[in-house]
Amino acid sequence: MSYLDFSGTFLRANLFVDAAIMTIVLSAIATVLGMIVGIVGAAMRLSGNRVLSAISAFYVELIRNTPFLVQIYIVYFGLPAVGVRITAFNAAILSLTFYAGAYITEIVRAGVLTVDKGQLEAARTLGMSPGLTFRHVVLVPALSAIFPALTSQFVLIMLASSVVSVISVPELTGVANDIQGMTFRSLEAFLVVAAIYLALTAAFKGVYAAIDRFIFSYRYVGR
Amino acid sequence: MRLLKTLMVGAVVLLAAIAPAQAQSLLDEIIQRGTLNVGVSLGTPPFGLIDSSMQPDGFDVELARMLARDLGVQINIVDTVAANRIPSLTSGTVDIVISSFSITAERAKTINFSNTVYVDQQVYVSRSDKPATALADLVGQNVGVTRSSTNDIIMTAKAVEGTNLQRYDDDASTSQALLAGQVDGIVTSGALARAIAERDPGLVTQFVVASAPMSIGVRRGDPDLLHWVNTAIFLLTNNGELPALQEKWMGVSMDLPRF
Amino acid sequence: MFQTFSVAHVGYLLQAALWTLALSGIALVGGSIGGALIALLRVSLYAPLRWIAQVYIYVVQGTPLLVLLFIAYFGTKYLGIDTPPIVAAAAGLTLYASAFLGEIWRGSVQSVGRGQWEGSEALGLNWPQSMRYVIIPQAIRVSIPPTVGFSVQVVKNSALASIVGFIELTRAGQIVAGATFQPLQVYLTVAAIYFVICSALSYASRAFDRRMSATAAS
Repeated sequence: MSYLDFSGTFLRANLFVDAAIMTIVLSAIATVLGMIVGIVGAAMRLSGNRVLSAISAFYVELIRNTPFLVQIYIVYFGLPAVGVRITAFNAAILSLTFYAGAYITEIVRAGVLTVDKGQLEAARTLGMSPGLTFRHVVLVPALSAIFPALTSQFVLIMLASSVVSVISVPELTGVANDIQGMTFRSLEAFLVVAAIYLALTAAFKGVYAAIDRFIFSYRYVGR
Repeated sequence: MRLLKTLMVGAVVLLAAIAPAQAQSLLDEIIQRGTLNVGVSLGTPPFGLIDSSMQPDGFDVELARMLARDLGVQINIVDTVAANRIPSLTSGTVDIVISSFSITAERAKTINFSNTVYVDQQVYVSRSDKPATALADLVGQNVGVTRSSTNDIIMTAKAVEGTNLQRYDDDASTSQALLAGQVDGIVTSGALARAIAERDPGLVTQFVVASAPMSIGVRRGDPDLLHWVNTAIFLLTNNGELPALQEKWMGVSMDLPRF
Repeated sequence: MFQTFSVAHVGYLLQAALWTLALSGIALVGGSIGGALIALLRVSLYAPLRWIAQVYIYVVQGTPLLVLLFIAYFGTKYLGIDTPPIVAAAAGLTLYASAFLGEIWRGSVQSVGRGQWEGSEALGLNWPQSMRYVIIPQAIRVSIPPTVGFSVQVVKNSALASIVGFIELTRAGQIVAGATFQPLQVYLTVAAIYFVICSALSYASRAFDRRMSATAAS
């Protein structure tokens, strides 16, 4: 009984494929939406408006100082008590987005703070509008500076998505749990799912490295 | 380094498989140790819960205490969610599992079941304005079940194509999903269904999905311990303690089927 | 049988919060030992040692903690080691903390300027001596704020131990929610307790950081 036996787990490989797709979809949507929340959050924090800045700071502290698992419980089981009811998938996307958004806010803020004041003055001298200045002088150079930190955060979003199995979203960890229930082979199911996560991490990192080369191609000139 | 560890795990595990089985019965070990480790889910009222002074309580917990008392040992309640019941037994984390544990042929390949201690029904519960009389009525509905529990196994096998099963980690989450309106209905034990209706009279039992005899789980290959557990159940039934326990927690006492 | 969420439940949750703190404490101590080893391997002069550390970090940082916890929980059982849930949970969190603390501390060691190495070499110190007397004392100062910051992650992530059956704050919340059927009140209370613990740690981390920058500037 106690040696490893992967046969039952491998027999259900098709379940892992569907689950891996769910994990990828969840992570991708939450990453894109989390980026938007993060950029808005950072803009609010640095806007100079005391109220907006305080709201953003409070949001970041609230998310960063409570467990993601508890955040999900509140969104999924708690909000219906005050009349807000969303599906498990949407609850997962919503919690993941706001979780990711808090960390991305901090990363983007740090990136913006690295932008040289002289550049801003130069942009003003050239008569660029505030919007244009933000985009070309602040956002893109800052993004390039923080890209490594962002990509680590994106991988962390994918890993955090493992927790949404508790609200019945059939992603990788949930399916591993289902399979251990069918095969009674828990270690095997989790070793396989760990290997899939590692492969996904490697793939995500590869994609981000390719994006890095593409967007910030000027960095690679002459290398 | 983890790869190395995995290889080491594999090697040691193989050695363990070759080595002879334990010479001593777990029954003797429990008596020598002086404690009985029992797996119970504390998130599954009325089987396992915490009372108002925050102590473990419920049908399963009280039955576990009776067994420890009759063995003359201390009790150690280990909180065990449904999906971890069999791994906890096979890995030796607990000696026995008393956790609304339904007998199924599939599970019986991996562990031993004692004689029954209660016969529960798996029922479909939903709001009174969403009636259903058979599994066919559940097509297109979101139905909550507890991952790896009997209701999950039954519904995975019997649900009509198009029924959307949602799996939660324990009965507490499943019933919360129903109370919060996150699912149209849930399949759960008759006992929990009564408790839910007590809390929210709008949630009613619509129909019985299956009957579910429950018993105590014991590791395979230890006839002494299994026989002791069966003896204890026999005695508790005869002296009226088990029927009284059923009456207290389930509101009914019954004749129990035996192997 | 059913109860209304009350002060007694809050007491139960606070008691469970002590277990959360205990579990995090054990994981941080274990993770410090493991992390120190990983950091040393990572900056060692021998390439194979550096690779071992790198693979370890890659694997742990590329796997969800939830999955690590399941493997620690069931894996030790397969080894025939009798582990109560707290030990399995602490083992899983230690594996996790070792990788992250190892990376934080490697960064701290490498942040010490080359000049310091050259200086100690000029004084005739060998590698272990330079490490012990020159580099590590300086690296520790740099590493304190991020280390305290990481402890927030450990406290929060110990919530996942609820899934392997260890009754800490989050599992206690599930049990109370099951007994009272009042999930919103229960989980808000749980979140508030985490918030207090983690905010205190975050604040300490920032205070250290400010003090460090203040001394660095003067």
